[in-house]
Formats: sequence, C-alpha cells, structure tokens
Amino acid sequence: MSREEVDVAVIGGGPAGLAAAVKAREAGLDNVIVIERSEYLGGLLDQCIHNGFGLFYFGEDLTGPEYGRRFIEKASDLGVKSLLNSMVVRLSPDRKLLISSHTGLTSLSAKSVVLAMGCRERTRGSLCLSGTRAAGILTAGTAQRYVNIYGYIPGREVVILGSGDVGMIMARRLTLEGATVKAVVEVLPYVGGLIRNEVQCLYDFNIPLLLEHTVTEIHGSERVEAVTVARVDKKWNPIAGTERVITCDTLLLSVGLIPENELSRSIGVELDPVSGGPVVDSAMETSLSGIFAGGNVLHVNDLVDNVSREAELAGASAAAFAKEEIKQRKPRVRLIAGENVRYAVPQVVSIGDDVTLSVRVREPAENVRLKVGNIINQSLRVVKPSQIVPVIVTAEDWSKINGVVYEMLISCESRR
Amino acid sequence: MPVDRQSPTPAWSILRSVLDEPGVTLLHPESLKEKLTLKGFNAFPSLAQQLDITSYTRSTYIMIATNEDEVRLLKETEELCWQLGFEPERLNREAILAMEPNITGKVICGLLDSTSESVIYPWEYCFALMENARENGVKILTGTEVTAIKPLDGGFIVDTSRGPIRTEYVVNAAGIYADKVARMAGVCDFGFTLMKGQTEILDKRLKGLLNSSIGPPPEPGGGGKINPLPSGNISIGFIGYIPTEDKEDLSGRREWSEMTFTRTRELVNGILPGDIINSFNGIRVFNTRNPEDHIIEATRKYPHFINAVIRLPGLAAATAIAEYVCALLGNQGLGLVRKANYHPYRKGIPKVSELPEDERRELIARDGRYGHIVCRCEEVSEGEIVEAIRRGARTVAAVKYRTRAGMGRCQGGFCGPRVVEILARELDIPLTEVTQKGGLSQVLLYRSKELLA
Amino acid sequence: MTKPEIICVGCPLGCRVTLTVGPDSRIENMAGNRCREGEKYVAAEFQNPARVFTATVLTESGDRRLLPVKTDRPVPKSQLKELSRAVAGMRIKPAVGIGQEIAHDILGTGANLVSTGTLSG
Repeated sequence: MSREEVDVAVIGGGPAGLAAAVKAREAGLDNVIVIERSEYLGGLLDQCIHNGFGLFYFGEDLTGPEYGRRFIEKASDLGVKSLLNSMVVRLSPDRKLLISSHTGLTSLSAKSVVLAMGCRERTRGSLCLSGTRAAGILTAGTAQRYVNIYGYIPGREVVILGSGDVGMIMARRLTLEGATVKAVVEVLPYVGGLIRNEVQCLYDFNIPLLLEHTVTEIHGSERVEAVTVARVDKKWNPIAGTERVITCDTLLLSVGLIPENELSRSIGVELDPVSGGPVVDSAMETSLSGIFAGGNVLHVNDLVDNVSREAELAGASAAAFAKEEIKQRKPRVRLIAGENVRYAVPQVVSIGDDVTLSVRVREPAENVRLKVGNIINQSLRVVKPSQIVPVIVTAEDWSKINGVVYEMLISCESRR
Repeated sequence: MPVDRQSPTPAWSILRSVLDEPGVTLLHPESLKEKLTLKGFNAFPSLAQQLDITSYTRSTYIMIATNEDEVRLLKETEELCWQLGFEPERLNREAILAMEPNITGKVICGLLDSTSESVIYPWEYCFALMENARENGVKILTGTEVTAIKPLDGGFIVDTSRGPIRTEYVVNAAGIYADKVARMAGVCDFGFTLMKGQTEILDKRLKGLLNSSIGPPPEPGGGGKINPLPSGNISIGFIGYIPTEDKEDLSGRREWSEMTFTRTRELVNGILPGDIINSFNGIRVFNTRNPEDHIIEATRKYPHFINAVIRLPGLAAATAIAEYVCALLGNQGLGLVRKANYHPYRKGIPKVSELPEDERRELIARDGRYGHIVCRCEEVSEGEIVEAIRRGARTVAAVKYRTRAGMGRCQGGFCGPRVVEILARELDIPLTEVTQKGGLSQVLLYRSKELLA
Repeated sequence: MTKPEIICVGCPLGCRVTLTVGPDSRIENMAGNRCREGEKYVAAEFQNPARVFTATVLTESGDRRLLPVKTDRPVPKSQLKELSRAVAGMRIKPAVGIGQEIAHDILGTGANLVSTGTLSG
C-alpha cells in the first residue's frame, strides 16, 4: 500500500493545530497537512461566540469565530493542506499515520508530527455523583455546542456545577436564550474562572453563586427533576444538615478539562500526570523524536492567545526537524514544581535558550515572588489557579546559573 | 462422583456467585438453577460462534486472600468445591504474582478457576438473540406495555398500550415485573425480594493490567469481583446486596463508588482516582416462594400460562431455560415442529476498529460512512451507527449498546450531539424528539429562541 | 448619599471598590482599588455600565442553522435581555461575510449588530 509523504502532519485543526501549521508553512515547508475529525477547521472556537479572544495576540477583542477565521484564512492563503472529517486512528513512533475518512483509509508518513488534539470535559461518570442517570445531564461544552452550533436549548431551568469559565459563559448564554439558571455551584471558596466572567456572567444577571457547595444528588427518573446541593468543608465533604433541593430540568457540568492524549499514549510519549499532557522541552518536542505538542493537548490553557503562541513554537520546531536542521545540543534542566506551583510547561528546558514558561499555581495568592531556580525572581501582585502565569526566561537570565544544574525548582512564594 | 477436571463446569462460578447471597449456605445440584446453568453454559461456545457474539471470551478467575479471615473463607470455599466434586487449583503467593504481577503484595494465597469463567456483554447477547429471532419470524414489539391479561377460551387476550393481542399461550418472562404480569392473570403466588448492586467501569487505559478476573473469597452480602473486559475496560463491583423496595430506583451512590474503589486498590496496583469513567446499578430479584431457585412452570389455574421467574445466574442459563419452557409448552399441547428453513446464523454490526486494514478499506469503499469516525473514544464509525438504527435502535442508549458509541472515557461528550443528529436524520424526526432511552428522556427540550418567544 | 460596590475586573485582583456617591450622582470617594487603572474602570462602570453583546441569529440557510453575531461596540448593560429578544425574531439569508452589518444602530444603542461568522450561499 503506497504511503503519502508529508513534511509536517498536524493532528487537530483547532487553534493550536492551525497556528502550528501556519508557522510550519512560513518556515518554507511545502507539504504541511492538518488532519481534523470534524466538518470544519477552528476547533471549539466556532462555538465560543462570546468575545474576549485575541486581546494579547491581536490586541483586539474578538469573538471565538473571528479569532478562528484569522488563522483559517492565513492557513488557506499559505497553502496549508487540510483533511476534514478525518480521524487519525493509528499513529506510530516513527511518524506513520493511518487516517480514516469517508473516502477510505489514508496512510501518511510524516517527517515530523504536531499533536494538537485538544482536551475533553470531565464527566458525570467520573465524578461519581449520587443519584439517577436521567436525561438532562450534560457537560457545559457539549451544551455550548448544542446551543451555539446546532441551535437547541437543553432545558429551561438549569443548575451548573462548577464555576470554570465554560460554566459561567454558559450561565450567561442560557439566560440570554430565555432559560433560568438557578444556581452555579462551586466547591472552592472562589470561582474557578476569570473575575470578569464572575461579574459579567453571574452578577450581571443575578445568578446565584453558591461557593463552597457541591451537588450531592441528582433526582428524576426519565429527566432531571431536581438536584440536592450542600455546603462543603475544607476537604470538599458535604456538611450534614446543609442540604437543599433545587428543582431544575438540566444539570450542566463544568468541573474540569482533561487533555486528550489517547494517541500520545498509544505511541509511548512520556506524559506528565499533573499537567495531563506530554512532557516537552523548550522546543515543544515530546519524549519521542520528531513529535511535538501544543495547545490544550499539552496542558489546559485559559487563553487561546497562549495556545497560539505555544503551538506556533511547536510548529516552528516541527518544521526545523523536518528540514533536518541540526540543533546544538544544549544541557537541559528539568523543572520541579515547588511551593504553590501545580505545574510548569515546558517541563524540560535547555540552558541558554529563550523560553516562555506557562506556570499554573495551586492556590490564589497576593504579593508573591515567582522564582525559577536562582535565575528568575519576579514579584507579582496576584496569582490565581485559573490564570496561567507566563514567565519569560532569556539568555541573560540563564547567565546567572551556577555550576552544573540538572533540576530547578519553580516556586511561588509569599513575600512576607 | 467421578470428576473430569478438564470439562468445563459452571459449578465453580455458580458457587462463587451464590455464596455472596445473604442467607444461602448450600448448593442444590438437582435445582433448576444448577441444571439449567450447566446446560446453558456448555451451549455458549457454539452459540457465540453462530450468533457472532464477539464479546464472549473464556477467561480465568483467581480467588485471592489477603488476610487471615480471607484465608479461612478460602479454605471453606475449597471444601465446598470438593463436596461438589471438583478440586480448584491452589496457588501460592509467588504463583499468583507470576500470573498477575499487578496484584498487590498483600496477597497470601488463592484458588484458580480456569474452566468455568467466561465473559459476555449481556446487551450484545440480547441483540444477537433478538436479531436472529426476528429473522426467523418472531415479531418483536418494543415500546409496548402489557396492561391486562384476560383468559378466553383456553387462551388469553393480552391488552397492550398498542392494542389487544389474542393468543393461545403466554410466557411470563417479565423479570423484575414478573409478579405484576402474573397478577394480571391471577396466577401470582410469589413475591419478590429486591437487592440493589453497583458496578464501576474503569478506563481502558488499564487494558492488560489484569489477565484474569479476581475477587476475594465469597461471603454472604459481601464478596466482589474485578473483571477485565474484552474492550480493555475493567469492571469492579463490591456492592451487590443492598435491600431495596423500589423497582424503579436505579440511582447510584457516591459512597458505593468510593468503597468499591478502595477495595479494588487493596487488591490491585496501578489504578488511579481518575480511572472510574462511569458506574451503573442493577436490581437482583429473588422470589419469596423459593428464593434459591427459579420458578419455571405452567400455572395450575391456567396451564397455558407459563411463569418463567428467573433469578441469578440467569444469563448463562438463558438458552437452557428457553428449551425447558418450550418443553413445558409442548406438554401443554403447543405443536412444536422444527423449522426446515431455520437460519441459525447472525452477523453482528462490523466494528471498524477491529477489522484488519484491508477489510476496513473494502468496507469503506462499499459504504463511505464506515470511514467517518463519530465516536472518538471507542473508534465507532457513522456506518455502524446507521446500521444500528437500521436494526432497530431508536434512542441514544440503543445506539450506545449496539455500537459502543458513548461508552468511552468522554461518555458521549463528543459523539453525543452527532449521534443525536444521525438519529434525527435517519428516523426523520426533529432533534427535540430524540431521547436518551425512550419515554420522556429527550436530550434537548427546546429549539433556539423558543424560550424567548 | 449611597455607597454602591463594584468589582473591578481590570486585572485578576478583582478589587471590591466601594463608591461614595452624592445626591447629584457624582462620585465623591472611591475606596478599595489598588491602582489608577482600576479607578478609571470603576468610574466608567458606575456611570455607564456597558457590555459587548454577543448572540446567535437563526438563518434561512440549509448549511448552518445559526450565525454568530456581536455589537461592534459595548451597549448599555441594561439592554442585554431586550437585545436577545430582538435578535430572536431575526432571520438571516445568505450570503453574509464576517463583519457585515446585520442591523444598524440596534435598539437605538448606537451600536451596529455585525456578523462574526460567514454564511455561504
């Protein structure tokens, strides 16, 4: 069976995949192909009809579809090839792909691969919520697809579990489509997403926000009829006696996004259990040579602007690999998460290279010092788990390094 | 009693499941339960082959003891096996860990069953039987509730939600509602004790973690099982006998998931908290007249009314139960003539994810929809979903059970909307009429802007 | 005199700012903000709370059921629900390009409703 050869194969045609493909083409490679399983490019951007995208990347306040269109047009103008309705069903460590679509099975051999498969949502099943399995329980992103692409509203009385950005955005969206959002229920003492969304999605519409609460039971035989909510203690355990029943016909879940690394796992890429995605180096290369990663498959970003930036680097690196550009092997350092740091990506950095680290903290804090070994010491006014802290490390910072270093601690300490 | 250790016997697996039942201490070799299970069990290999039931696999089971109490229970179980005429192989710690390196170091000893353990997906079994029955002339009416049964001229008028049916014989195989149906004809001389259970399904990334099913020694009301499934998922269940009064209540409890998960991790290494992808509940039914056996009989009041009130183990015995019921019907005068043109074979829906590459290409060339992957987690194509609908699937759940679309780790988050759309298209109904599992379980209640009118 | 509270969303600090407002609706005092930018944001938010309105409009196209739209500038926050109802009655015919005006000076807000997607046909 003949195998088509390409320079760079990008798996996923969402914002990450498009950004990577564009950069790979700009690097001069002829044969850059994006493989996308749905009917159109742009990934989830099309269903994110709200604004707030591109503030950093374009310096404009765009909606999801507009942000996506910029990259789709650029990719098209540059001659990036794309396969729609096509799914990579097999991938090998030596970069052979098997793609399934209406027209058949296509075999590709790529000089380099960019993994850009995005993420999935945490489900009711994995939360082990007590109660029935009635109709009317959806994840917020799936509900968003129904509302903004298909044109259907799941129900008219909604409770939302989780105050991540998707949940808050859907609270506003459903309210503006005529539904009543009876509560947004959050187990933490603060919202999981941006303050801007807390104000403009919840307070603006008088949607009750129940912090330090959770849904303890779902009621309803064929369809959701109500949920029981209760206050929780610091360990997230429901406090007996605080239960309250809220009638509703729909429960939306916005309780976590998980990078989708089925393909990555199938080829043995080293995964970071904390970020949920591959371990990568300053060039966004995974533990397998010639295989790069960017976007939410690598770690769940909060701004698509950062997705574009990260994925562009992956695309540029993939192009350099395909062109067989010899990279000077620099000594590498593994970053270890220290005080109040959940993870940092990339996890492995080359000494001397400019790199922008995406750091996610564990707890909100004010007046902190973000330290990377002894080479970075940044003071920050506020950090929140819902917002990635970008930390730029330059060659000049690297020059401060003492002796031979294999690991560096990255921490976020209170300044007191 | 001569024992042929090579021949498969379900006695060992029946014993295990029965010993978990509260209040049961002995086996009764002459009971319907055991005779029919043995017969049904032995029929599976050829049945699975004829009906293309790909999930049917022979496997192994290891009963393991991890503390002194369990060692004692293990010994008691072993003695019961000897009484039944077979000797399960004893395994010491090293032997168990050699077979199953991921079992925890706490294991002390175990018993091996390499003859009577097998796995099958109940839904695949049912669809296979149903499709084959339909092909051979059986009329299957779904969405049809029986509301009354009136005797008439030696036979019956069965009233249903879709109109009355005149019949000579009735077989009451209504499971958990067998008492309700029997009462309609005035032939209910039994009640039901109901016991609820819960099982968790673990992510298929754990494929290969275990080769055998494993479990602790059985004890009344307790026990449990960790089952690697053909799909690569692992099912875990340690909650089996919670008394319940409500037949409709299939709700789950978080505490049960947590307890099951904890017990599993005491036995197996390598399972992480995020690995539970879903759980489900079921209700076991025991008749009050004779809780330890089935009731399969022509009723005295109306001999043409056969009660087939089945308890566990039921699935393994199903074909044997059916033959037994046929014999009862024959005794009651139903003329049973072997069909000359009976079709014994049934082909399942092709699974593109399991086809060799060249066969997959051929299939896609014949019908491009087999190339369009809809369920990403389970690699299910549009062709399979359309075929499932052609074979009778009308709901999201029906599509799920026939194709596995929606059974993966994202639990239908990605494929759900696409499945709903395909159902609407193929059945020519609006998306707001597509249901999760029939009745009032619509996935979507309103069209865009309808609530703003 | 009133003392409304406004949460500043200029940065992740989310300062809760308490305003002291005189009888003539003039801001006499502001407390709780930690920067100058915040002061400007809160003042604007008090005087004229405005938001960019985003929504979907039903189309008369077989290709896609909905077209995403937005106002090309912020509109009074108090008019968001009214705008939703107004948009609910619209039906868009193809073809429409990104940025194309759908409704001019919608509901007298001074903002135009523009398409953020494309509708081919």
